[in-house]
Amino acid sequence: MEKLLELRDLSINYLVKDGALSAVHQLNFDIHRGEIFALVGESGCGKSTVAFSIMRLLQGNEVVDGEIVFQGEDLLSLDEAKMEKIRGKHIGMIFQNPLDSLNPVYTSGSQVAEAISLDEKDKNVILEKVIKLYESVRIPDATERVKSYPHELSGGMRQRVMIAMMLSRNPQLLIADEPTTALDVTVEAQILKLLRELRDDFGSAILLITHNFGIVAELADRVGIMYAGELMELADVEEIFHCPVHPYSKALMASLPRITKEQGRLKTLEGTVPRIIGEFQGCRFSNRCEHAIEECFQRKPELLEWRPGHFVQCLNKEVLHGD
Amino acid sequence: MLAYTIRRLLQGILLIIAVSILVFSMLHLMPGDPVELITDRKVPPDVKAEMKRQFGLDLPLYQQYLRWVKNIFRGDFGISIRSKTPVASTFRHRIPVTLKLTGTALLVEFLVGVPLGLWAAYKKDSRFDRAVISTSLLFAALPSFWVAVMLIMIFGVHLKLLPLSGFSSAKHYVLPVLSIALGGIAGMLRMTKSEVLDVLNERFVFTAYAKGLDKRTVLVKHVLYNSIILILVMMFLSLPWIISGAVIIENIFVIPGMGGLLTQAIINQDMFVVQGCVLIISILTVLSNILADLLIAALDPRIRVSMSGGGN
Repeated sequence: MEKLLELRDLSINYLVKDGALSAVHQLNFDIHRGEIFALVGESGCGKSTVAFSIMRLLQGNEVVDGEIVFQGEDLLSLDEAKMEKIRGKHIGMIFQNPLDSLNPVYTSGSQVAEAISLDEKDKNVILEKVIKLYESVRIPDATERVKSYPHELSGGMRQRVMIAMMLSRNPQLLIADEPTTALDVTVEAQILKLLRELRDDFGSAILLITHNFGIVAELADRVGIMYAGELMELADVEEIFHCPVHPYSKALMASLPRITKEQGRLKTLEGTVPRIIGEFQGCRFSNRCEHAIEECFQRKPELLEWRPGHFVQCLNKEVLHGD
Repeated sequence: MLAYTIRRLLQGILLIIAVSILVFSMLHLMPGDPVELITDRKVPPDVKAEMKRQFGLDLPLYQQYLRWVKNIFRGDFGISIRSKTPVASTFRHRIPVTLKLTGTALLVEFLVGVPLGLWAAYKKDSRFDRAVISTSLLFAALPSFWVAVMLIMIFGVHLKLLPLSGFSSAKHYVLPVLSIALGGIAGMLRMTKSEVLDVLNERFVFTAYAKGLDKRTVLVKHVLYNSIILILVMMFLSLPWIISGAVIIENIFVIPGMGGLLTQAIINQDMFVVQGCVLIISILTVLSNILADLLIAALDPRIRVSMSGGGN
């Protein structure tokens, strides 16, 4: 399959008082056309930072290294004017909390229209398109709802408006940063269905950022497990669920509630994600890892192909070849 | 919205009535008798009594109040005890002068302070931001009368570019307006910056970028518009100060505005003038509060809803 987006050794450091805080470290993965790629990890593992860096919407107090190649062009080397042409048109993004992602002083429709007006000038055509988009994201009573202000819409409706807005210019890639975190479960299911249809109907690739394995199982084609700014494991969704290799992925799987015969408490993972400032030696998961060997504390492992299409970043040979 | 406007206006009227009673009675609580003040010890008591009758000071207080209110509705604020001229005609001459002076100053504050604040917020922590913010801190700390004297020294005395006092031409307004506005710009700028910084971190600004808008459109349509709502409201709330004027500045530049009038009248116990001034200022305060409320309701749909009681 054709590669749409390639991250090459992407490192992002936040400049903080004590030095450079490593949020993302030498990240490598690619997203193919029409694929739903899920980036999974705990809070603070850097997954949202990756999303914002692809859009080049980070705050400005960070140092970004590496390459983000989109359709053969390194986004990090583009000037601001060229990047503005890519945003919305080629890469769209929907955010975690739909409650504050729309401007409260404009009607929801006019904010979608604003996006369309970048490509289309005829007012009537724009309005028609907005209504059509509202219908396609299943907003009931679309002709009336375009005139509604964000505060007059529910969270789920607002997220639909966001999706409509980001669909309006048919981007090849949609970044969905925890798109359903602030919504309740029924609305979540509807939004997920919508995202899947979007991919099926428009052929857009989706970079799904989440910490929810339920969503991953529901939607994703491939999964990257992120920990402390690095990819620990990358594989097809089936592989990840049925034979996770990395101790961290295994721990994550073990901490999921499942309906099985075994009763008892859910497994938890001791400790917290380290805050890495300056140079760091060894594997970033080593301090919480049950299988850590001496080497893990001395040398950074590399993400290697364990089996075709299945990549793991681990030094312990028993982990890799055991079982 | 209409119901809200009417309700707000009715509240305002009640407030003005209450204020007018306060204004009226406050002056009667002041020590000293105005007739004693303008007459000599040698004036016989019956002449003084006649004068009291002339000014209506012998009537019971509530009648004095009603008479006062009735006259005000006819545009009669009484006769100044000092100058023996109608207070209303003094106001007619002085209000426009003050309005022109402080109105221009406010406009300058807005036109200079808001863009500078916007840019300082956008370029936060840049050299421009630091320079602008520290300069504004300096000007906010400098008292306007000191700035006025300095400006007179530099532009009036040494460079001889601008007139020292008076109010006859546009040139005359430059220094007084500058003396008032320099401090005001500082305040406006800092308020704009903090307001814009708040909005810049809002998620909807990221949305605006994410849909592909260019920086200028985002800054103007999504950042400035949202932050200007509060700035405009603050400006409306500062309207009463416009009429009460830049008292000291008017005195320094010998501009016959409301500020000078009020201070003199208080010193002279010229009670009709004081009453008139305070009443006008209070009415303006009430009106600008109402206007600020209506304005924010018109600009911000979230508030429009809560004001019309939820439904729409």
